[in-house]
Amino acid sequence: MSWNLNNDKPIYAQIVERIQRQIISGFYKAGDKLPSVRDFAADAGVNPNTMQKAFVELERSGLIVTVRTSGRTVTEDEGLILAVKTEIAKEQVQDFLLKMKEFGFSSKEILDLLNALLKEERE
Amino acid sequence: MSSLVECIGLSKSYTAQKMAVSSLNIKIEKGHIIGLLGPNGSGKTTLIKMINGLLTPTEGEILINGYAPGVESKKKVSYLPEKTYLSAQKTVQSLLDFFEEFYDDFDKERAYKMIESLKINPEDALKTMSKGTKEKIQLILVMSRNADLYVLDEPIAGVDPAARDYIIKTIISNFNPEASLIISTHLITDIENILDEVILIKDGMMVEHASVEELREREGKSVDSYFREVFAC
Amino acid sequence: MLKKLIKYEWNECYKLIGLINLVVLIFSIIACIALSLLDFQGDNARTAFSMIFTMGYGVIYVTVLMAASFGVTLFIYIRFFKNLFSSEGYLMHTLPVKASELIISKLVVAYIIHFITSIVIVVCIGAIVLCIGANLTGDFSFVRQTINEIVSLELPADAIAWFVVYLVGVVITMLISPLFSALTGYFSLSVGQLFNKYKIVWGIGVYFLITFIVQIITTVFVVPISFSMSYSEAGVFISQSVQMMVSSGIMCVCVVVFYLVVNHIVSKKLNLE
Repeated sequence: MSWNLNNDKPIYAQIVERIQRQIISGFYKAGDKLPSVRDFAADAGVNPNTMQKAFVELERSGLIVTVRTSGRTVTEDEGLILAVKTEIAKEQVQDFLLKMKEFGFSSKEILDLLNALLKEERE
Repeated sequence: MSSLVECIGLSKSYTAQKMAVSSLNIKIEKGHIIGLLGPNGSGKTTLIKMINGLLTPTEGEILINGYAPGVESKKKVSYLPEKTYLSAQKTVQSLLDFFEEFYDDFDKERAYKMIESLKINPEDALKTMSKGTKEKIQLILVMSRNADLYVLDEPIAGVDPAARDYIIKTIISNFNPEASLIISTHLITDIENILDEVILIKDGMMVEHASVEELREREGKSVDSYFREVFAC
Repeated sequence: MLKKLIKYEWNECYKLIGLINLVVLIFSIIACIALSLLDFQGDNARTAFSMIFTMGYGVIYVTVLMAASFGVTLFIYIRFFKNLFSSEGYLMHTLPVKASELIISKLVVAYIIHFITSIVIVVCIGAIVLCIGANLTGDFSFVRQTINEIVSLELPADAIAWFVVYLVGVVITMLISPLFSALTGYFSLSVGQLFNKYKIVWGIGVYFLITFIVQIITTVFVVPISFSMSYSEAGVFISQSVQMMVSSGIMCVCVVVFYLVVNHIVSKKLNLE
């Protein structure tokens, strides 16, 4: 299936992560209606109960809301989305910093490397 | 609340020495997709045949919705056998008519939709179709019933990967939370993501009955890897 | 459910049976046409040809009849096996129907098939006999004459009574024998299923064995009767009638026993490959 899920770990956590990413990257915008649990499950090739569990988790975090008549939508709260986005970004940077420190890079070296690479991208 | 399927001390032996299935105690609740996993000759097929009333237990009981396998249980169980069990001369249309005639819960419209989306002509006979297409049709017939229990014996074996994806999608799309589905298979990697629970059977005995997520957390590996460990030769 | 099964069974069978009967009809019509053109009473080449043709065609025709009869019986057995004991069994035995309904639906259709084929054969043979008679006597007036002769026979009342009993026995036998024939095959195939390997071979073996046993039993009961009766006109009829009653009685018992065994095996001892 196109979702590239890792069978060694619990699936629902991976699904939560993936949908979070889709929301913060703008694939699903604030207020967008989401496909049903079953359609999502069919697309991902996962058990609908697992997909349901992931949705419940996302609802708990507030990223997804259930509207009684029209199903599930992404939250309208852009602030929340931004907060989640920032949180995830922070985690990624922290992981990156940890790895770089393991390789033996100092903070200054890391910053210089980042600037150089970003400059390259601009050109 | 009684379970959808209940095996109580279920045993089957063909000869005095060999127990195909021995003292199985299993409970299956509704709303789950369960993988029945085990090597060849482990007793999976024997268990499946007993669920479907194709084999009589030597000892113990098996109950489906409280009924012993018989006319009442067969109304509620939709079975996809491993082999091609439909006569090759038959046309798809005649099979649809047959299922509609004998099963009250058969949803012909749903079956038609699925068959049309595959661009299959209902007037074609099965013998004109490839193996993959035949498997899909057999699956469509079985999944178009509104049964309480679906039993699929090796639904994706011997079929190309694209057809496998289709079959898995069909199983998920037709999932009914009021029903349960048992899949017996060797191809665990392809299917483990759609399973809620797994039942592992070895030498006719149940080795494990656990939820997939629990298993993954507990063992830190996929069901497929765990299976290989448990059944290593 | 039984009606549905019967309808389904009939739909699966009627084409081949229709074909077999059609073949019989065609060969019979050819025979009748030929008989109207042949000449057995002359002295010329045409007569010689007629004799030779009749002998040759007679052999062919009898073979066709035997093949048709055998074919129908065999078809009924093969149909039973294929539908209930081969991979189609996975479909049939998971239908929400009782084992008895599966078996009875097949018996009903087997019965109808036998009945139709028998009627066709009897009618065809009858037609050919009439044609032979017409050929030999010039026209069909011999029919009326023969009937008159039979009707004006004078037999003692008790002989006639026993003759009627005999006829009743014949009718019962005719009514039961399609069931008996089908069930002998079903019984054999079902018992063959109890073995682990070579199920069909065992089935065939059981068939010959059980046919042999039934013959023996029938002979054991019937022969003493035929020896014990006197040879008056009534005596002959009495003897035949009693024999007929006994053999049809044995057939009935077999029908019941075979059915019960088949039903038991199909519902409790099923083991599809």
